[in-house]
Amino acid sequence: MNPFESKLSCLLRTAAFLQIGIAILNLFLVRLLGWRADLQRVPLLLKEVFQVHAWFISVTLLIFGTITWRFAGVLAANSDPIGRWLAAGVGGFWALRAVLQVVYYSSSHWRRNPHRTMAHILLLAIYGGFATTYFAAAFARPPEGGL
Amino acid sequence: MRGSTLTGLVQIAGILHLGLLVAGGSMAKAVRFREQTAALPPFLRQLFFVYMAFIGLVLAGFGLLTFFFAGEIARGEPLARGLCFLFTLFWGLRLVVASFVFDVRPYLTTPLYRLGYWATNAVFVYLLAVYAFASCRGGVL
Repeated sequence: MNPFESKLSCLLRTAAFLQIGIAILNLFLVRLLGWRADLQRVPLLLKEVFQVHAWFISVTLLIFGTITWRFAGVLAANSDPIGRWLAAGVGGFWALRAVLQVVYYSSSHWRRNPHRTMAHILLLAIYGGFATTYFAAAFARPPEGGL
Repeated sequence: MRGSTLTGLVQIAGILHLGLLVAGGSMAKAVRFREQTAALPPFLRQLFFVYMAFIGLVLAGFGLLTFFFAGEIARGEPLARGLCFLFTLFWGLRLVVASFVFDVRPYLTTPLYRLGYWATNAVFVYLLAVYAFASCRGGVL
């Protein structure tokens, strides 16, 4: 493994670890942010759909995290076509998530609240970091002479 | 089972993901999703739609990967098998949820919705079976 692949593999493992962390955190979001009372206002089926979507977003992130952790070397080496497409897909997932963080969620949720502003910036940096790392695995090659 | 047969079955699994996308869209219409979530605070409502959009994106991604890499999956290549193993867990859990969490009976008001409901469950079983079989081929992951 050359130095570029080695660094990329390390970044991918960090991304894997963080994604597993986000997956676990996401399971407790309703309780942590006190949404239980708000969710009581919608019909039971929709409440269940929301809960199940939250679980499956977590399962998806666990899939991304586990496969990245186990196959970080393969993804970094860019040697397997399915690995390249997987990295491009996961990168696209996080790039879109980062864009939505800016253009879809209203800034009124975090503006003039320092803690929420910090959380917003941190999440944006993490999502952007994931996208960059996976896109690097999918598309980037080290310059001649190594990295 | 011959490799070409499994490749075909895996490609069908890929196409079925796109069918689930259509079913998800019609479910949102059937339960009048927009109206029903109007009472929620804006942030929670937006999160609802973001979850939905990303689940759709994930289904499309899984489906496309499965369809275009059906050969690699059928050959039991390590990364493909790793993905199949995780997809097996995903669809196994989805089948459990469909069987034991949701009570959709009040919404199954037309024969078409009832047919769609049972067809969707059949797809979950099919995906679970195909990915489980594909992940079991070859050695230890």
